[in-house]
Amino acid sequence: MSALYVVVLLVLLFSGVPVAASLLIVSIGGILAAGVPLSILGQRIAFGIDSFTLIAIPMFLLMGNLMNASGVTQRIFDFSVAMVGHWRAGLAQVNIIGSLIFSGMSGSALADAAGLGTVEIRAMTLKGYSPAFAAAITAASATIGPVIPPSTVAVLYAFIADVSIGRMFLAGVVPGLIMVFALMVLVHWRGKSLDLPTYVRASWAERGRATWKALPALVVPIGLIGGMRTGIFTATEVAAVGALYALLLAAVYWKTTDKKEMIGAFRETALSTGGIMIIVAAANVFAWILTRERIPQGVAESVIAFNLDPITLLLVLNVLILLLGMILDASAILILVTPVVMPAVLAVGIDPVHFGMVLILNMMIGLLTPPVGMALFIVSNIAKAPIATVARETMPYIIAFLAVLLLITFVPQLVLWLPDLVYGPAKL
Amino acid sequence: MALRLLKTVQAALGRAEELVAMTLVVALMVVVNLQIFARYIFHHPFIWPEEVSRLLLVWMTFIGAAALTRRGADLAVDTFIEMLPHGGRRVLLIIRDALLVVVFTIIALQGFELAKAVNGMPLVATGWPTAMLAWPVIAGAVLTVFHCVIRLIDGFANPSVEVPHTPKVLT
Repeated sequence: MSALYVVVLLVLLFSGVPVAASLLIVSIGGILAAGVPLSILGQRIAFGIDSFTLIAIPMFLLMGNLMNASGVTQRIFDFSVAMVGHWRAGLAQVNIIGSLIFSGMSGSALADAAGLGTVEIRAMTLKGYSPAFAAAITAASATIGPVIPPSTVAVLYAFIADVSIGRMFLAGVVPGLIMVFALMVLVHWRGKSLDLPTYVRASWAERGRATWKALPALVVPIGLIGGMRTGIFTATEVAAVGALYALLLAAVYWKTTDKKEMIGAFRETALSTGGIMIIVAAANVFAWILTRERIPQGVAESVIAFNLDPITLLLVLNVLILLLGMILDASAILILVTPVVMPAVLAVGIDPVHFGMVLILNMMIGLLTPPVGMALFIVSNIAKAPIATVARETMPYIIAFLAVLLLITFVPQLVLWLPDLVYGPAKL
Repeated sequence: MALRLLKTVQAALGRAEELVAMTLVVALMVVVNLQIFARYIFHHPFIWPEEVSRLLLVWMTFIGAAALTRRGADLAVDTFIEMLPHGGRRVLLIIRDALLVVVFTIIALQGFELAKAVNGMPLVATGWPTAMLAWPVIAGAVLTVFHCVIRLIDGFANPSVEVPHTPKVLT
């Protein structure tokens, strides 16, 4: 019976039925088959998202969208140019550093690719970089966003896996920096053969000015993490404060935003929230079927029966999620996969925070892989370059990220060291 | 003629949904921040903002999801239907919309059942009816059904028109 649910779900998904509706169809079937009153549907769907924690998702999305609309992207870009523009393959390095900074105030890779990406790709093509090269590095660096805190997928994972959002956020810092380092080395190395143009080294006075202009944005990550760690704010509150800060920065302090873009930021937030949260609501009905059919327990039991060690299990899951990432949206994967595999992950003694970060990094690679690499679509559109060419240019970065994924799979300390340092060792 | 009118109504409704969802985003930001101000600036924490903000999230979700359905931008796997010729894609998208109509009709009905079941039960902090959690489910489901029905009629009336099905949601 459990196999039937999975098959029907996959058929529905592949036929283009929206994820939420697919989950609901299978759930309705399951509820009817179990002879349980359908009223469980209403309760689960309405109460499943009645959570203060989940409010952090629209608030982080809003902060990122407002920051994008505020013109902060140009300031971050100028700051990065002043710092690393004179390096080999200067604008590509600027692109990476810019994404790193922006990721500290945005929880979404695609908001990064669409916002900062537009500025970066325009500047790179003007300076003589090929559009495909510019698009590829923009897409790759944008995927660092959800690994580095704040991150909406980390909030979603923390909610589903029942781990601390603070730990989950800090767990992404070291892997995110390793991704940045890997990209920078790769770009440096490619810059040798491609003879890419650079900027003149900025003077310290220019650097000072650029830093001052970008300062209101540069302090955001410190405020977010500090606010949560000191216990002044919950994650949801810190996100709401961040959103208000971005709004005030854009509308009152910088006064750079046009009204249309500002309204667009709110619309984008509302629609994105609807798209993700309706799946969370539907998945809460589906979870009832999973539990009733003992599917997660079944997975855990077979993992134990096969005597899988943590590393092997993580590798198997990595391959599975990479394949899913090629066809399915990242948050949908997270919502579908986490509840099914969580008991197995815990049973073999994997730290759920470690698993969460492996999952998130893996899903970000999915944003870069065709056919459904959403980041690829966005940057190809901006750069007006064929998606196949951009996909080819992205390959070296995907390989680098796969190496980082393997590294954090094998060395959990890279993920857990910082959260353990700040919050103390996890109590499992 | 009648179809044109229906589509005008649908477009207006879609704009209204988006406007409502956006207003809810603003309200959510204000309410959560108000709670923080009350706690740290006025040293007088309120008990209602948490409950109200959760209500706002539930409303935002179901209204926003209905607006997404109108745009044909709900999260879905499009890889395989994109590979199909126009005719095959049209058939699958019509089946999709028909399924959505059935599913969300059931959801709307169960939303009503839920509203009836919790009738008279107040929420803890605000004392508002608990049914306020069921209403957005009903509203969102009814709107979704409406959009899908219009799309189905339109799809049958104009076989050459592409049905919207591109996800644009940010991750």
